[in-house]
Amino acid sequence: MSRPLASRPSAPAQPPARTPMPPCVAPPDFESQLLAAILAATDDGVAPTMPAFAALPGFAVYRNSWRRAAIEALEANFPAVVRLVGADWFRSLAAHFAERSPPDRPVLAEYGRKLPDFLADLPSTAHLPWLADVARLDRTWAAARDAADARAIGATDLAGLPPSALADLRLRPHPAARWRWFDAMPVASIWLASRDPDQAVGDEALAALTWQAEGLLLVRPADAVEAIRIDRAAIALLDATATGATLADAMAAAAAIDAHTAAADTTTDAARRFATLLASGAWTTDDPDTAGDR
Amino acid sequence: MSGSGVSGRGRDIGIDHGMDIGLGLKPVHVEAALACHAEGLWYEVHPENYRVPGGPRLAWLQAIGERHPLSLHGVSLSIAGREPLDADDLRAFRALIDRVRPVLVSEHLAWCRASGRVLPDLLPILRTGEALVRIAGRIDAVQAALGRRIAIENPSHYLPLAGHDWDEVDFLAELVRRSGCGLLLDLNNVHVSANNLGTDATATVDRFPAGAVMEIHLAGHRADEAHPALLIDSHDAAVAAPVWDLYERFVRRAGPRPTLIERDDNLPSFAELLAERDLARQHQRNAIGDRMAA
Repeated sequence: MSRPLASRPSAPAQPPARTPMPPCVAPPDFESQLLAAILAATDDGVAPTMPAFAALPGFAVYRNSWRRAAIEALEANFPAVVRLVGADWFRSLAAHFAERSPPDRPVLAEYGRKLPDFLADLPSTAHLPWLADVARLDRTWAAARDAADARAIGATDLAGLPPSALADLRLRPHPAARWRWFDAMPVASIWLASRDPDQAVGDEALAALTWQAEGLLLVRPADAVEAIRIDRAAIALLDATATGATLADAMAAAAAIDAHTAAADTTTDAARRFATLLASGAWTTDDPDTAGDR
Repeated sequence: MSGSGVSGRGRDIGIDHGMDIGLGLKPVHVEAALACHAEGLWYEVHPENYRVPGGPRLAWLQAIGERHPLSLHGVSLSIAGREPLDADDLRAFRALIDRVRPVLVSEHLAWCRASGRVLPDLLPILRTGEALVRIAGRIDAVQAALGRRIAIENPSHYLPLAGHDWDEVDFLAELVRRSGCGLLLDLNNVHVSANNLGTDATATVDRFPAGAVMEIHLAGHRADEAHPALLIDSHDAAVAAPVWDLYERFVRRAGPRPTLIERDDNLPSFAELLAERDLARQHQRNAIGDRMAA
């Protein structure tokens, strides 16, 4: 039978090896006091308003362990940012972020959605104007990795279609496909370099980059996420298919961009561009309702 | 002696499924895990890490699940919390259960959610009569939502608190009686807690309601740097000798249970984990031998 304790814990059968800490009397609202105390405690000093149990050595375990887990999650979720700013700086800014925005979802792989905006507002990273976008690409990469499964269509799927059917085709972006255009900075190059251990990402390497607009497509044709540089017209093409446009209209949207940029041979470029996107696994014909769990 | 009121062990679902010694599964070990055909090997993961629409992680969990029994070990339901259970989380957990068909599902006698935060930690409670009623009701609700019996784990303790109405073993036994849940006996947590609270680990193991134990956890721990008398449930080292002793002690009394070696940090090679698994089998056989001889 269960037996509620009297005022003290039951006596151990054998004396413990060490003299234990004398127990601390817990307040009736222990749990809310514990929460407030572990959120408040940010250093080794204990504020005078802290409950008595916060003076126990074990309190530090609760004070530290959620912070450590949160910081480790951010390190895992933002590998390019870690590489670019260095592990020590990242840990200190991650600690700062975790104080302001503790995890609010159980899935730690999603933790840090607000980190890019936090980085953008941080005075200490003002000299790294691309950092927030690099952080967003880290998030985008994770979203591509974890997106619903679907069969990517390839050139062979379209080979038998007559031209009119091809023109009327409405390609749906693959659930894992993500594309971004960076207007002013070579964010794609910086991000790609920082995710490649063989590439340098020091000040010299970054200074050597051509400071221009760039586009990036992330796809997951099989098990792994792949990154492909794309131009502004490809972005327009993908955007159009995402809104449900026919392939003819999507190609026209891309052609409108090409007209502005005065490419030498736009017809050939457009065909090659479409073939590249198709081969990358950017599109699916799977019904989105059955492609994945949600 | 069991203070639980739970009599008779009945069929053991894990043993029925051939679950002998299992390993916590880490992404870095997936290839080795897929290739390994050791008898009685099973794997445990945190469902929170697989709450994704699709992609490689989910694919490999399913591939592992086709070859080995799986256990889903939740860390974020906040079973001992005060805020309402999150319906979306329960639905997502159920969807994963339906997808990978685990043999065992477990959670902790702990909480992590309050005021919009989901802290990545297992926070302690005051074991009051009110807590007992509330938590039994929450376990009921979780079991209904997940469509199965779950096992509740004894967490590690770091704060010696006076003010509990219930001893932990009795509290767990009463939860079993009221909700029909099972228990997950974490022997490293028993050892760490006994050290930190000044209680007797062997008495805890001897009184633990064996009939309800669906799974055993073994793990390594370390002394706290600042307060070496404090042990931390760090999962970053091999299982320690006193924990093996507790394991033999429990198996001698209660017979074998599916047993997991939890290693989350300072990860050794997969081969080293298999060697530790062999060690667990030796201890288990020693204990079963003693049990037969008795």
